[in-house]
Amino acid sequence: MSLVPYVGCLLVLALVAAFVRGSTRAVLLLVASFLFYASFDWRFPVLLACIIGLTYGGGFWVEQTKVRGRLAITVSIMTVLAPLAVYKYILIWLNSMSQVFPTSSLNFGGYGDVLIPVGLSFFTFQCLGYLIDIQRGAYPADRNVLRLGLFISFFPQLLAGPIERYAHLAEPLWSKCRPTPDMAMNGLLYIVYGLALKLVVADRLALPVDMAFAEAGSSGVQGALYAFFGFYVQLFGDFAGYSLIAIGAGLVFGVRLTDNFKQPLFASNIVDFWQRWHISLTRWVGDYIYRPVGLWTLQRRTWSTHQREAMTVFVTWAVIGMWHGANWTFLVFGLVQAAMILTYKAFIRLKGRDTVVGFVFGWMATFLFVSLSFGLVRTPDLASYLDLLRALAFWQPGQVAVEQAWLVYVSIIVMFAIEALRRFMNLSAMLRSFPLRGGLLTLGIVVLMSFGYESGRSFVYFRF
Amino acid sequence: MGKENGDESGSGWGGFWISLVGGLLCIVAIDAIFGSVMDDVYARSSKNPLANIERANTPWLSLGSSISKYALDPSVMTLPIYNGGQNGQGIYYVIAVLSALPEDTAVKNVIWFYDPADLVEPVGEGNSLNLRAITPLSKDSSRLKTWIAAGDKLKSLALHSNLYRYRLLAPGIVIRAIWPQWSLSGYAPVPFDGSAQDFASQKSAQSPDPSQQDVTERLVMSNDGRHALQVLAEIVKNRTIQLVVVSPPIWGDKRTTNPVYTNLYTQMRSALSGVGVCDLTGPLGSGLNHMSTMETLFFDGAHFNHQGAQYFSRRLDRLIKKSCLTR
Repeated sequence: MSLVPYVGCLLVLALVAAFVRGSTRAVLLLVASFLFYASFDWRFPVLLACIIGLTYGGGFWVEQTKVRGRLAITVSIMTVLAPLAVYKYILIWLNSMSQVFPTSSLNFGGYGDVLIPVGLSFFTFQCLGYLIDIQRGAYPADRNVLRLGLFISFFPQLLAGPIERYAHLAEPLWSKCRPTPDMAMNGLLYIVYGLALKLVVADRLALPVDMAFAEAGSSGVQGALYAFFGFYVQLFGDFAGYSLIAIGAGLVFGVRLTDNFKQPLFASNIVDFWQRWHISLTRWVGDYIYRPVGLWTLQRRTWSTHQREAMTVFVTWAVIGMWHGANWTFLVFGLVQAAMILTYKAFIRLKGRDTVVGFVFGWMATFLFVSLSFGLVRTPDLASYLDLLRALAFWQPGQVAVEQAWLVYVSIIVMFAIEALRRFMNLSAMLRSFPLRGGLLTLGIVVLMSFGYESGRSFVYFRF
Repeated sequence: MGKENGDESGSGWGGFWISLVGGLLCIVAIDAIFGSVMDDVYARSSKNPLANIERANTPWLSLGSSISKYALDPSVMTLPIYNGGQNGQGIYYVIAVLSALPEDTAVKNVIWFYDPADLVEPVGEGNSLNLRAITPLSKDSSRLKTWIAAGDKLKSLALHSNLYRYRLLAPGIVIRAIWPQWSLSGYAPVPFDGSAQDFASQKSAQSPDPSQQDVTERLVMSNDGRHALQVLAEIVKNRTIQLVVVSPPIWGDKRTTNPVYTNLYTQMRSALSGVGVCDLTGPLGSGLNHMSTMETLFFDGAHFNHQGAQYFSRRLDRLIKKSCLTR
């Protein structure tokens, strides 16, 4: 389903849902979520229903046996993880070994003939979080399969997050929350801003970025600039755009989803960056990978504190890297992040980092590092990545054709200005009145109608 | 829906709906004002193909894609011609421009650079995608709206909005209204940056020798192509225009004799028979065919270089005067 009809359907559904009470409203949302997922492929909802069923049953089993051992949680996790492992790793590895299908592609839908259920890794992580929390005794297993189903399948965040926690979302979705006028207006503003990030910034930038990676050997320094800095900005526009649309959709239904991005473009260091980028994933990994691994390293009494921290950070980031898919470049991406985080922590006591000069220097260094490392997520192979890195380092000549370059640059500047306002000023306090927000909404729609790019390109993170 | 707890602004649903409806009304007003201003600007902008044609004020007009744009150099022709070819355009562009020409236009003869691919690809594919460059002309043409929308109902609806009609085009149109770049011939040699094109490598990728091609691969006209030909015939008839159909030489591909295209040529001639057509794709135009083997005339497989354009234009000029000069 393309974006504009999706938003149209979403608003109509929000309007209908506003007049329906109690569990009927929740069932309406559940049915809508399954229909939405079926619009991609009729087989996807079947898999989703199976995963919901496995999570539901697994929750009971874990709850009943958690004091006696780890068998239930281990089996439940393995069962829920199985589809993800099969679709995203095993089939891809088999294919890459036989060299039949490409192992990296930005085309949505899968690799070669393998149709990967979109959003699988996102909702699988939600299910895993639910099971682990039950094991930890955070809450009992849900007796209501429909409530659990709605938590897992809620359509605005089904495809690419935010990765929500059961305790935060399930009950509000089922019965408690209804939109206030404030939430509805903010929701609309989020949706329009998200659409603008996607259609005006990301999709337009995608063309030269794609070209730069496709012709990595000959696109020269201009191609390298697009491949690294351009892709970072494109990815932000694309993923933050999706998250904003999801959060906005949640708000018009009266639900507050987790803020997934907090102006990462203005992060002052790499740790700060990962506290602002894809927050729901880093928090999830922090709770369910970093902490257990950290506890495990504590049992290694011969290890020093630095060794323990290094092991914890590297394992955590290897998981985050491989979460993106079955490609060595993703693993390298994760390990590079880990190395950078550890390096930053080693120098954390540097004087002057809280000054303006320190911030600017830190911001520039972070921007440069993140841009270069994100290229690893996009590159089709390491050789192309190294070609582009060489072109940038030695300022090699070359060119990439950019359609309506002025619009690309103007839209990036405007996006940076808006993100700077959101980062350094209290925008929500400044935008309290409805007429002002209505005016911004109008402006946003006019911009979308005048400058939106109709590529029909799916979101980059749908493939993860 | 009444006022709820947690309403931070203190405004209720009333304020929400008033702001929303007010915003929508503003969009409608902005759209109307923008459209009115831009229609006026577009009429004076050199981005507007109609404005260029009317400014040239010649009885002869050539239309087609970049093949025609870089093929016809009016400066070496005795006929007063304006070259109205545009990159990536095809038969739908030709129809849109001819339909939009004013009643009192000076144009009486149109040279159409026929591209068989236009009639094979349905609307929504190939050259028809580039019709977005002339969306401002869709204001008074439901046909052009239909072709641009290509079956997309949402796009069809959006084309009624002026903001959408001038989407992405407005800045360029305004700049070329303030600083117009008029050309009385419409021709400019193919831009050569010295790096992008490598004709030698293209030669190896060029379509194979026609005699070797399997005749079962003959191209078939799409329903959209058939319909477009009917519309073109109607326009030519109603406006009493003489249509000169030319099949421009393509390097290494003698299309007029290539069996792959035979059906398309036959159907095209049949659809345009009975209206004012001078067909140079058949025996009358055989004097142009030899150019498809003259490598030095081409910039790449499909486009003439400047020398090629002059060579072709002189020959076409003579051919038209000999075979088509009826008015």
